[in-house]
Amino acid sequence: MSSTHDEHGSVDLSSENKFMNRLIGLGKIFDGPATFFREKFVEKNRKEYPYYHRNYPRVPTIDECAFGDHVCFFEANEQFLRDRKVDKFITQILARRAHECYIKHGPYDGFEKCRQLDEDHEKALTNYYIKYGDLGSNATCIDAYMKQKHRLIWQRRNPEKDIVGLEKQKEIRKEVAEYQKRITEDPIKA
Amino acid sequence: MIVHSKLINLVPVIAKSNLRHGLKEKVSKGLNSNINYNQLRHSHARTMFIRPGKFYTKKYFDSLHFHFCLAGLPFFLFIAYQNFFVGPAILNDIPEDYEPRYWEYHKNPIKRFMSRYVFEIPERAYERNLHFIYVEGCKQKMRNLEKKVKTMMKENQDYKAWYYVPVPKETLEMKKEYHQKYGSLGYESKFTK
Repeated sequence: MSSTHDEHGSVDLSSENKFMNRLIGLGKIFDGPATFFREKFVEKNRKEYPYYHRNYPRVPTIDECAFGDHVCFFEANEQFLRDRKVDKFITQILARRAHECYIKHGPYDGFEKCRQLDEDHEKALTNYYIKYGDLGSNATCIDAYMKQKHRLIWQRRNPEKDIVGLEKQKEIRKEVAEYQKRITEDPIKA
Repeated sequence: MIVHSKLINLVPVIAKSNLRHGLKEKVSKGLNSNINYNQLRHSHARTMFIRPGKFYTKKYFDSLHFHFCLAGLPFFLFIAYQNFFVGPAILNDIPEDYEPRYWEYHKNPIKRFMSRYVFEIPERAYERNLHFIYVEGCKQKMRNLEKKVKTMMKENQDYKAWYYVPVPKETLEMKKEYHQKYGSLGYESKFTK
């Protein structure tokens, strides 16, 4: 199953699997008359005309706004909410990619082959949580700004501690992979 | 021996005889075939054909037809026209040196039409909202300033503005005379001072 949804409006219907190919061919029986009708009668009478996606220009963020400048705060807040939405979609896309990789390779091989995608997804999730997490849905840019301030203060006061723990996660995963290899090679011994 | 017998006495005889074919109408069949038979008079050939009622089916189809002709068919034709001859818009990158108009951000032609002719321009509404935010912010600042000044005057009591009420001296003299005449209460008091 290799359907990619990242591109807008195009689905790749090709696979090495004969069964899948035959199913796809079955679907094309319904597809044929519809495409024929569309190409002959519909496409000729239509005129193509474009539509665009809105391009929001960057606005000064909250740390560049003066105290009491409510207009600046409003625009910075709108930008903050847009960025939060975009980051949320980014995490969802990375999750989708990792999931598709696992579906393609299976849960056992996927643990080795999809490691990079998994790591990207984890990193994105941790960064999202660092920036936007636990603020609630009615968050403003000031909440995130204050959260960042408190986090930097805490990091300044506790320089040794690692709150994110990505390196520790990597070590744990390496150990589990080695254990799996040992199990497959010699189940009785390990 | 009674020679003249009423014809009515012949009914059971005729009923059970073979002559009943074409004369009688069978009411019951099968095991109950020896029960009474109705008598036919051959007055007319047209009989009521008993069948289930048609009121509800006709009413249902009638209302269906009504709603289809009033709303279903016009909307279907409109949507068919929209999809055959107009079609949805195609996503393009914004070309340089061109700023798309505010309705060109929609895909559906009906939405484009409504955005263009019915609803207000989003950029204009946005700027208007910013203006209102600015005005309210200014008012807020003025109010806060006034409050602060008032409290400071109240605390320090050093300025002749909020808590200072200028009174002419004549009123004070009149008040003194009144008190001398009538007392501080304004009437003679026997029990209070």
